[in-house]
Amino acid sequence: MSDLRDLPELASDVRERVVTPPYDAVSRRVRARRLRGAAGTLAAAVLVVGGVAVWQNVATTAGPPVPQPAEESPIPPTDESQWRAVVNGTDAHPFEIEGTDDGSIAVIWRALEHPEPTFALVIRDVDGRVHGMRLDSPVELTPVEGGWVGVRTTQGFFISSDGTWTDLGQPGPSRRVRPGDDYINGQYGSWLYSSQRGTWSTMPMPYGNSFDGYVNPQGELVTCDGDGQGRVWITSGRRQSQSVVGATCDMTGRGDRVSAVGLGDEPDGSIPLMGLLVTTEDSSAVVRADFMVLSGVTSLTVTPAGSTLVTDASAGDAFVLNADRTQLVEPDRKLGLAFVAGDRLYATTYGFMKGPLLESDDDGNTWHEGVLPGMESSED
Amino acid sequence: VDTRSDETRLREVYAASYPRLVGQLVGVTGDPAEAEDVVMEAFARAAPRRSSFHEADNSEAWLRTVAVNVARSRWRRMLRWAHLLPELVTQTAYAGLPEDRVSLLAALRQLPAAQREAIALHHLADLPVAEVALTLGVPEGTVKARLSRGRATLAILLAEPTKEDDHVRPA
Repeated sequence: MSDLRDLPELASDVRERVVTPPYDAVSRRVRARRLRGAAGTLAAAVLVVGGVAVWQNVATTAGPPVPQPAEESPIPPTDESQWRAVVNGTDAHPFEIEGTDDGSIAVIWRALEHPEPTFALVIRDVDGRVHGMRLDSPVELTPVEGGWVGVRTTQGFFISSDGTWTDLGQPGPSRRVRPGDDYINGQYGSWLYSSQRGTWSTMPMPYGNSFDGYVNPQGELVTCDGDGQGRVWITSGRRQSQSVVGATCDMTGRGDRVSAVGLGDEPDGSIPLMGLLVTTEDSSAVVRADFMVLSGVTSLTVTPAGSTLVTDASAGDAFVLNADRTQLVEPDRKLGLAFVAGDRLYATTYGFMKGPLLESDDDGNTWHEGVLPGMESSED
Repeated sequence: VDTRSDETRLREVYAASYPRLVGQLVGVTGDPAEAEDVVMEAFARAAPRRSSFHEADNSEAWLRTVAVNVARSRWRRMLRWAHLLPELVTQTAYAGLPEDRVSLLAALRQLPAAQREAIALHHLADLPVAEVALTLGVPEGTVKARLSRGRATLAILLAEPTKEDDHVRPA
């Protein structure tokens, strides 16, 4: 049986078994990052000349680079054949999906090809027009006014719903939060984006006490914080909600309504739902978690009606807490990743399968089937 | 010439430090394959000429701090993509690790992330408390508290057969 004195030996036992990869492995990662950086620089150059860059026109020079075969392909990544090859690829599925305020929907498709997965971004605008682009790696999408902010490592782009990519460049210094700002939480940092001013600013890394954030209509930063000892809560200015159990938390907001989930840190790697917090401008409530068992949280959505929808896409489990916080409803079918586009509530098929796009007209209680962007037939 | 010497230095550090850093980071990630991936990512971030790595007095400390931050970021990202992560991470077999080391890794995975980081840096990387505090960006008192709680929990976990042990040792 091992004990604490074995900890140093654990390090040496692992160290002895490490087979150091050739240094080329480092070089490959660096090259991949430079390619992404170069794409951003070129996009910025186009901006100087033309103001904005419509992806259909600049994709051959300014879009995110496509993984190139040994002999370079002359086909631009926006060519329909390029993104359709991903949508129709091996075990293709929606990897990420987000709506935006004008009703458009963006899907990052992923196909499990060998030796590495392939990606494409497909957007269907509110008039039903579909744009697509093959990507060399996914971007993390956050809905903002008129489109999305896409983040790849630390590079930010504004992607409008008509298919325009704008490189946001180097972030400006940290600044005070203002009304109209969006809090962008990425894998390697967090930023403030202002749609009105087009500014892109650094936020302090939300590690330690703050796990996630949201800017409310009054321009106040609302954060989800933890004590590192298993409790999390929502902080808005000097107000602090009650706390729930959680090693960390995830949060979202719509208007003055903010919802956060406390998430566990289980030894088997799972991150189960531990508790739900809902706050409005003048009140906060903790919802007991013992009757809403989810083994993971894939999406947390405040619906247009002010309800909170939580889904676990792996199992398809979900629940809706109504705006008055008086009813907890289980939807009539299994759900994947939920989101809002315009004033409509959507969800993908559970299990991240390539299935219908589900839509709800009654605040998440019942759902009917639509079509995922990229899967429209010629009759649609 | 500077660029070439920077790369030469990084290659030397890579050859000398890669296995050692993986051994230390395994305590943070709880998984050797994940530890390799975050250490590789740290080296990739060190490579650009403008990287602050090239001005750091202690190369390995710089890499360790970046690797810990990468591990944290990945854990945060798992909040949304936990179900997809196994497909994204290349699993490397560390077959042949003694059974008690496997038990130790299993126990480490049961610690909260903050305690696991402190335990790994202090006991696996053999860093003094002050340097652990510097690496994690928290006060020394916080590190001591996390170490104390982490050790107490580990002692309990290691004294009792874990569920994973039950699996590998059927009655």
